[in-house]
Amino acid sequence: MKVKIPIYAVSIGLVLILQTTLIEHITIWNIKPNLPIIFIISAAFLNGNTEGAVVGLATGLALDMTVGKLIGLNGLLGLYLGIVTGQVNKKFYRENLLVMAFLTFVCSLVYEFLVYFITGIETGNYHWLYALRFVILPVSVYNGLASLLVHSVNIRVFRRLNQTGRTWRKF
Amino acid sequence: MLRFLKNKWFWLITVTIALIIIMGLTAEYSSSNIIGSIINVPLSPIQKLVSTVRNKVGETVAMFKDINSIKQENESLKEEVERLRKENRELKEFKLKKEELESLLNIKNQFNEYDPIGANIIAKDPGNWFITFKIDRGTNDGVDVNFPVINSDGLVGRVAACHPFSSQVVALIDAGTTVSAKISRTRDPVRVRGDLALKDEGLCIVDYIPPDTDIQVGDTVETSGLGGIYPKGIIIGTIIEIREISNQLNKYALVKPAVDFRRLENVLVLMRKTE
Repeated sequence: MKVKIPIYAVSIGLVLILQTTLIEHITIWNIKPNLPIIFIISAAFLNGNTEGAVVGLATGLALDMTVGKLIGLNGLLGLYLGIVTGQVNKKFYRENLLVMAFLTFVCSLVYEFLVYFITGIETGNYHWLYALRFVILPVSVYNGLASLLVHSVNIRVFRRLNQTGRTWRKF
Repeated sequence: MLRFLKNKWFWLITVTIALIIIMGLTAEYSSSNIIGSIINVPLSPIQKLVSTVRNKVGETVAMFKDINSIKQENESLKEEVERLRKENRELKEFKLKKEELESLLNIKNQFNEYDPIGANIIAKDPGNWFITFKIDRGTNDGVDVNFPVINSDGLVGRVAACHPFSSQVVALIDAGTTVSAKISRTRDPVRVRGDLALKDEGLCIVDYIPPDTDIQVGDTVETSGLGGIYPKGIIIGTIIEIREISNQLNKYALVKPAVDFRRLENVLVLMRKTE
């Protein structure tokens, strides 16, 4: 676990920088994929709910503090996202990319829905159908597709990390 | 005795409550946002670097792509420079005349109360819901919350949160922005606001136009100076369409902002002079 902390810190930093700078160049129909969410889901799916919760909280908080409208919102949602997807870890084959894509799609739907609902409370200005059709659904599909790439990278990284952890324990 | 500290449920509930409290405390933007500043201070130079590299790479690629069109553009630009020089001379004369008349009429120029400061955009909002971005000027440069942000074309938005070396700007087309404005031609007061459905097209709307308002497609909309955030007379954009709401007397209009938000790289923050 100790080896993982700096790796997580660097990954979260990288994900945030990518999300706030380069990602706007790969928009489809004005929609950007949400890398931090994909990262949380992938990490939690591979490593279980405790690690998922911590990574979710850290990533969400960092996202909030970079360019968030409501500090704590992504932190809170990230925390529960990590716990929920970490729970699935026991039930499905965690290195299956298709399961990951489907999981990301479903989680993104719920996540974006909650973000829209909570940030709109102040003004009460909701356009549910529009939001669902033009933001929530496309983001979820895009996230699902992007998760294939993120997850295959994460699988390699964590496989290596877990192997190093095992050899360390032996000696 | 401290066994509860090892209980996951205890931690989950504590963190949840703590986050809800933080959300409550930071719901209104403020300049003394300590938590936000802690992470923003180390992150902004990195974002600035990445953003610079991205722009440079983009520029180089674009340069090789359109070397032919650059030649043509150069020709037409030369012509335009000549034309603008002539226009500039005329405008200088007008300026002198205007100042003379203003001093005669004793009109206070609202822009004199502001000091513009240039800023670069270093990051854009990571999500899909809002149009906000980060600039490389912060409280250390004297920037504060609610300072208006413009560029050479017109109104960009306002500063929403400040950190020592960076600030967050909410764009005019963000769904949460409302600006008190007027039609330049008729001086009729209107309200311009961002809209979730229109932000992707880079448009905003003038809502609740009273029936007797004289408004036409092609009219320019500018800030009215009411509301205390934006000074009077900043160009917001042009009316491109007027829509009637069925069964209602009211109508609303679509405004194309003067600023091109997709290609925005540099902005000016209007700093209030403190005397």
